[in-house]
Amino acid sequence: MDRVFILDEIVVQPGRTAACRQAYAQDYVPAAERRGMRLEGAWQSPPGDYEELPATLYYLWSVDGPAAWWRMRLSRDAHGADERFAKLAWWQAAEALTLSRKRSVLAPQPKEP
Amino acid sequence: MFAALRIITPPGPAEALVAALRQAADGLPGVEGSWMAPVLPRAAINAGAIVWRASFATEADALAAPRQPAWRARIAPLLQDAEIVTVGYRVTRAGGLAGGPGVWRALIFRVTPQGFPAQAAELEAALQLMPKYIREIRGWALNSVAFSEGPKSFTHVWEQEFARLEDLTGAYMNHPLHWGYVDAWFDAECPQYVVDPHLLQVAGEIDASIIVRPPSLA
Repeated sequence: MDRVFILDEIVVQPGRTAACRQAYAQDYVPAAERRGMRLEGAWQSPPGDYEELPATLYYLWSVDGPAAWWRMRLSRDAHGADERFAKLAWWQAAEALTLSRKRSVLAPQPKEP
Repeated sequence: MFAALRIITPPGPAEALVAALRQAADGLPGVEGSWMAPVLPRAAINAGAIVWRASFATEADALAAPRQPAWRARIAPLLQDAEIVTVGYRVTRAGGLAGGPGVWRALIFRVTPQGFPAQAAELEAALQLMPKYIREIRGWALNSVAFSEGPKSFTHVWEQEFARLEDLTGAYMNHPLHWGYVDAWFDAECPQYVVDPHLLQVAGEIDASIIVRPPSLA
């Protein structure tokens, strides 16, 4: 089975783009990597930070197939606690900087006959 | 048909209690159908040791059953010290084919209040796609909870039947429709997240379908 891709699209409030990027890089990325996620790339639109404009941050992740997906989904911390509450708390805290967000699971398109 | 599902955690050995309960439940007034089994540990989440699915003609019959003399005399003493989670639900949405021996599985969960009505409807539509695309699902039923007894007010019961446990733990869990679409409503990292994290998964072996009735030969 091919790698499974996960795309985060985070629409950030005007003037908060840099703060959201930093929070994601410092807090979310290390935890996600511990859960077996691999950051494939990060982009934003519009290009550049503008105080007057909202921006969308794009983060493309991957995991090594369905089994790795479930390990990531059902991950536990070093004390054996279900990490879902910590994950939820992070996203809820991020709402102070964001307008909306979307998470999509992606797979390669099937080959046409 | 109205179903009452009981997840039972006895203080003592489950096998002996299953045998005693089966005998005690035989012929109970108001009970139209009764199946019980030891819970399969490999597919258990917050589940007890015994699962009992009884069917009734009406919700009133299901609610009245524990107050009947026969239940008080035969069932209540056996369950006296057990922890029991009960959900009652009318079976209005079910499909698939009646089959032979296999595994029955239920996911009992709660959609949080803010998930009603829109996201609950989306989740229900997503779940009902699964039998079409995951052919290992032999029979299915998705229904709203009418009454719930226990630590959590559950809202939904999602039942499936499979030919083998491996069809649940393998094909069902690994299908992209499951992890790539349906799971979003259960995933705290997705904006669609509306299912309370304390859910209950229980599975048991069946000799024949208990969700889908075979066509009448009459």
